Amino acid sequence: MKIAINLLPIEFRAQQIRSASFYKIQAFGVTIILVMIFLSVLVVALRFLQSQNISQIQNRVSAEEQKISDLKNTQGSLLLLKNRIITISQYLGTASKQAQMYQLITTLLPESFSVSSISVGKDGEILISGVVPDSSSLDNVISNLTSQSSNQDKISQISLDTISRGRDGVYRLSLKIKPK
Amino acid sequence: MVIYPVAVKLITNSKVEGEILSKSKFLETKAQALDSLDQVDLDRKVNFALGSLPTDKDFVSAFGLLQSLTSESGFSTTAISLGSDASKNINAQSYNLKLAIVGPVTLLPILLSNIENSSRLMRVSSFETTAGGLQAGTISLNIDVLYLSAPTDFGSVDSPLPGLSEKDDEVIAKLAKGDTAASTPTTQLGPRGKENPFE
Repeated sequence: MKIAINLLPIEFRAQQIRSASFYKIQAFGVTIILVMIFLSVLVVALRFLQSQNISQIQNRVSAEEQKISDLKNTQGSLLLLKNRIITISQYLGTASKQAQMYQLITTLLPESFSVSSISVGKDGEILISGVVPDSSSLDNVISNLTSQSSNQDKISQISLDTISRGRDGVYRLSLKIKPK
Repeated sequence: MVIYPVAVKLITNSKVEGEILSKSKFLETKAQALDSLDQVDLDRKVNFALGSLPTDKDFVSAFGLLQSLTSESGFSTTAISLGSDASKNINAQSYNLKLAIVGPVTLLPILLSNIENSSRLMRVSSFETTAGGLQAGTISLNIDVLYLSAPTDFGSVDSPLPGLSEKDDEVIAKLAKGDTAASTPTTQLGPRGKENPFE
């Protein structure tokens, strides 16, 4: 068992307690100041390092920009090539609506249909005039053109503009075919 | 007093640093990509593309090509003239050529296919035939010959670089194939006139 005996007078003891707490506050203040100094130094050092790092990266960026500027012709050629290819690929190897419609119509017309003229317009509209020897051939022409299975569902409208039957029994007709 | 503004600057600059770093990486990759490209090969590809879709109207070469395509398809040309109005085409400009030909109408699909699959971009706008079957009919065709003005913007230093996909390479290969076929001379012109006219 530890026994502490303080024989100092009460005033002296009170002064000692006051000075002890003052030292504590002083030590705390000094620690705070030291911490602040440490943090300031740290932040300034970090800022310095960061500035150095940024300037290094900026130098690297300038060097790369210079390198790219030297290769400006290559970049221009590549952009020009890509610009052409985008458009070329839209057209190359694809038949126009006009050509497609002509191909379709020529396959749909029976051999008995003697074509006098075919005209294909800008929107793919076709005007055909021709002669068929008899009514069954005429039926055949119309059913071929109007049947969805044979016309591949590419025809929206067929109109028989003119039709006449000659003394020889042949039918002269002109058809207007609208694509879908 | 010192710590706060410096710390704020440190945080702001770290964002800036990140941005510059990513820019640096992007530029580095772009420079490497540009450096790895073979300029000679690229020029060759550009020539193929410009041959197919020039930057301006090329009447003379289009006339020549159409004439050779019609004769290859079994037709003979009676007249070629400049048309007035061209159809509107997507992403391209065009001028119209009128072609009057004579030949078997049964071969017309081949001619249409030859024109539209030619390495020089052309579209059949409209046409008219006056006889069918194996008869030698007269055909008049309106053909839109496509061209496209050169782009005005060739990209800045920090603009992204377009890449060439496999599909693009296929298109270039097709053009190269067509160009080789088209460049084969069909007719040889003999010497014309005196070598020295003052002799």
